[in-house]
Amino acid sequence: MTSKHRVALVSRDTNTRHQLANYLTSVGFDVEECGELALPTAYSAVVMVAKDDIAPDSLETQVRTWIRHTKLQRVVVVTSRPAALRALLLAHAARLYVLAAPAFGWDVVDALRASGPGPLPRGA
Amino acid sequence: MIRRQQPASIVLEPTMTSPVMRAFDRVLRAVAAKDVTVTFVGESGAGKEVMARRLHDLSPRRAGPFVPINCAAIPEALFESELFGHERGAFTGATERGLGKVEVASGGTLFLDEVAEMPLAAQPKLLRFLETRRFMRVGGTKKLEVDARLVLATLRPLEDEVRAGRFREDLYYRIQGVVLTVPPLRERRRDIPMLIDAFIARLAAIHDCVPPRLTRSARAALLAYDWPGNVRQLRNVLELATILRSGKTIRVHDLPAGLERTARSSAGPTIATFAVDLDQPLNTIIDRVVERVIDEEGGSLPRAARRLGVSLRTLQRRRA
Repeated sequence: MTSKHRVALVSRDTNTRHQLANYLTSVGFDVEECGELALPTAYSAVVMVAKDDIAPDSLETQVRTWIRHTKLQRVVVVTSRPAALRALLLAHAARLYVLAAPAFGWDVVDALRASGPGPLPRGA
Repeated sequence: MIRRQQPASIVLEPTMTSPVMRAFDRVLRAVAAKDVTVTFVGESGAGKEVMARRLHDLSPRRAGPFVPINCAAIPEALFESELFGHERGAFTGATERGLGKVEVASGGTLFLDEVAEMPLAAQPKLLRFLETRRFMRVGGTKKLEVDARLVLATLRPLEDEVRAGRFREDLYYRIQGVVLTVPPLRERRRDIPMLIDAFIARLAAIHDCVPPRLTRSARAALLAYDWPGNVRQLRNVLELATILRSGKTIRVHDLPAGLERTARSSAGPTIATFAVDLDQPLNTIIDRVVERVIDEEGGSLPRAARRLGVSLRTLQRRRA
């Protein structure tokens, strides 16, 4: 994934979103911030920083919708509940990256740039 | 029991609250902007790769790739191919062209971890590349050029390896650059509380556990221990405790034996000792004592003030 690709950054936490957006922009990504996102068709990748108040089922449904109904090359989810995405991760290992929170900003960068499937987190 | 604030979901800077790490970070920022080779020297588990990654993030090459390679983990026979890549048919099993780490790192940073473990036979090839910035893939005939910054890490100073005949002197002088020593965890105790909270949150997420809480005495034991295996050892201790005490409380006797002994010996009536250089100015000595007590209290100024027998305001003024 190169800087030419547009990345949607989804998080309900404004502070986290701004800081991560600045960081991703500084390393060459074209980032658009969103509090929520229904169907990200205009992007090549989505990064979602899921807060703990999102129920595991809702998180799974949201990510499943993005993967099924868009041509996103990569979906990166940072969550304290990676196990909620286990089944999805097994089915879509080439497109879906799940990072256990807290994750370094550079882990998100590596997930966006990775060319192959990501490793399965042990909890996922 | 101490309730701590939930760590942020995204960490943009490694934990660097201790004075020694703040000073280290200032040097890192200054060096990052310059295109010089940097060698990190530090004990195992001290966080050399994290610092190398931070250096890359702070550098003008941050939009390029960061490519780590562990020199100790690659068999000698594969080293050249791993570093410089290979052409199709270069050797048995090479069914496709493979890019080497040097090529992948073009425009970014190539991080050679445990560089002292690099096979002697591979060292002249790296030297040749560093002199010309050109290389050939194994089995190739075309010279390729890349622009990658070299960052190295080693457990022991490379001078020692040169003296012992395990590292080529000419390569040592070529890569010497700026040498930065990553402080061991025992010299940056004030970072331990934040590291504990971040590790427990992350390990609980990884292992699908409910983050356990630490009793005050368990936290004190973690703060007092000398951590010969540094941050990696702290993580490993917390990994087991997080799994075994999911949703419960981590007590001192849930910690490994060495830590439990530390807790027992620090629980009795002890006299804190501290070497003082009497040739230093009084203000410097006072500052050192103050910082040491703050470190021992895990960065808590109210607790440090109580222990020093001064008001919080006095302590804050002293540090302003």
